[in-house]
Amino acid sequence: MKYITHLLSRYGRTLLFGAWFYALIGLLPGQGYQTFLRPEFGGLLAVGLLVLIGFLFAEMGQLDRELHFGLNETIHLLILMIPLAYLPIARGTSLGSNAFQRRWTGLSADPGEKTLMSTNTSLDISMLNTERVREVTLADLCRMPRAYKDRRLAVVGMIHRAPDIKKRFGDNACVLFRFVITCCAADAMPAAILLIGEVPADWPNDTWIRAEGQFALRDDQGKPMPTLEVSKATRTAKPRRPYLY
Amino acid sequence: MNPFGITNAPHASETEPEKPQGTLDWAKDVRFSSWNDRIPEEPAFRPLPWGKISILLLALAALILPFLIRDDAGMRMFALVFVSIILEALPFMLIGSLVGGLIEEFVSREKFTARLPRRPWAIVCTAAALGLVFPVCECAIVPVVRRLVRKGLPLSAAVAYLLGGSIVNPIVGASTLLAYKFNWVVPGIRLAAGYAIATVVGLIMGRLFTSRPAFLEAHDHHAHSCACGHAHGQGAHEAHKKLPRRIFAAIRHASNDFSAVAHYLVVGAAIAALAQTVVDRRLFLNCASLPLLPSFLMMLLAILLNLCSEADAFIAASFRGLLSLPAQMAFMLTGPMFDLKLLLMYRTLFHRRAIIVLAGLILFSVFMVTAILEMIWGRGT
Repeated sequence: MKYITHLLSRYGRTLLFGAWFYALIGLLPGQGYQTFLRPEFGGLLAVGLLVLIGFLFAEMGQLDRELHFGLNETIHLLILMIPLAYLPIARGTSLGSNAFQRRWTGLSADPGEKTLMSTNTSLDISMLNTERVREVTLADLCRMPRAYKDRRLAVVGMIHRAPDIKKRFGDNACVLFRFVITCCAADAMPAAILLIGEVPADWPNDTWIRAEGQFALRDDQGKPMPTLEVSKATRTAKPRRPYLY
Repeated sequence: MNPFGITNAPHASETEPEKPQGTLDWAKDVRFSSWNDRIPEEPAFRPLPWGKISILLLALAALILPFLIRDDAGMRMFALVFVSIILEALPFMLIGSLVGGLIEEFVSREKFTARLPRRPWAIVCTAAALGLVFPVCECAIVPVVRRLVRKGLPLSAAVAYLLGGSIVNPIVGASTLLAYKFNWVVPGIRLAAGYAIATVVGLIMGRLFTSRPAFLEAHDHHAHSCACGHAHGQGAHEAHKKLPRRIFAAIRHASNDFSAVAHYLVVGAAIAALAQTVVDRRLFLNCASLPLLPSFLMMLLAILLNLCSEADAFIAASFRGLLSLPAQMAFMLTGPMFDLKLLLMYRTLFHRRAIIVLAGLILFSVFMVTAILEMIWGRGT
């Protein structure tokens, strides 16, 4: 026990900072951090990594110094190691139906959305006047549904079937959703529309699909509800970036 | 080692004031009191620190758990949210600790206190608005305030900066403006109310804790026991030292600060991730028509979710059309001042009594602001 305490007192924090350095350096090059954070956070994470390297050197420069290491310090060290144990589970995954059910506050167009110019978007208005199918993101659709009303659209997302959706809108109804991230997955908000039409019933929740059809705003208890009347649905691979920003 | 054979304990005093270990002190007491022929009784029974042992076992269990349950959807969601919160906050906390270390090493207490305004209320009013000049989020602010307090920043001003810094700043203003689609009223109310609450709570805390200490004594202990390699005094730091040594010492301070605060972030993030995995947000909509209850529940949600102040406006805005603006405002005002990770991080700065008073004042002030807003605004969304 004394030997372990001795080792921890000398090398504990060096090991901790080293482990965190190894974890962060593993996340940065392949943009693995984008599982958790929006792309712009890469720079910030790199700055954090530099500071961590500084801490690591500061600790290594004092390896001969024996520090007091009691129960408190052991607990702190263990707690700071915990996120590293959860990192491998979370890598490569993305939020799905489970999170959608918890975070979704309902389908309705934003009552504050009035004009196209009041939102930040890269949309080219002239494109809306053509009748060919236009690829849009769920984030754009939810930000300004009125701009896309009665247009033929194609949109990619995950499907979610829930008993209350079936009950309200019929057996061939489901929700198409995707998460929009502001900073990190903790603040991800679902952007969702109602799908009505031919989406095969054997496709389970969280299946990535590309749905094509006519976009409309249905009236649901006095509120406009963004809806895609699906004419064609195809399964698609999970996008390289599953989140929208 | 000191002349009495007792090892210095730098980190123990960095994190929280460690009580003297019973056996060692007893032996020490015997050695010196024996001159007076008074031998203190050896404690017959030294209870095990069950609280700490339980926390240790919990931490071990939390470490092992992901290796046992890997494929559960709930576990994956928990892990994703948990690590996301940590990774988002980590750079801010590291940078905040570094700023704190640089303040400790390069800012002398005398110069710092000499530049503070003379009138107490003026210091508080300035501190609450400091975020406009030095925008920081709530994760970075705690290590910075820890060091500023050591440099002589009074309690009222420290509280005002702690609460105001992460709301009254241009980044939070811009994100709120964007989330509410350029409706200037919402960020206006948020920043003004945040400033008012920070100032009032700061002033009240200053008045309440005149005779009793609010800050942990660790800040004083630190002066004697920091592992940066030199002794600290109350006066100017050793300005004659060479720059590389001072930078090294600053990084060493920063590393100590980070180690002292970061584990609270991990615990807060774990609780928040659990809440995000379990709590259904639609439950909050069931009470939308009742007076004040939605505000109260949104405050609770803000405490549980531990969101960054730069992102929380987007979550609040998702409740538009469902909950009243005062309820959304309650969410945006509470989170940056008081959530689970902040509650735990405040433990590195304040005494428990001060934290209870501070938490009570923050929650009461936010609730009052939302009540006033509800009177003016109604329960419109």
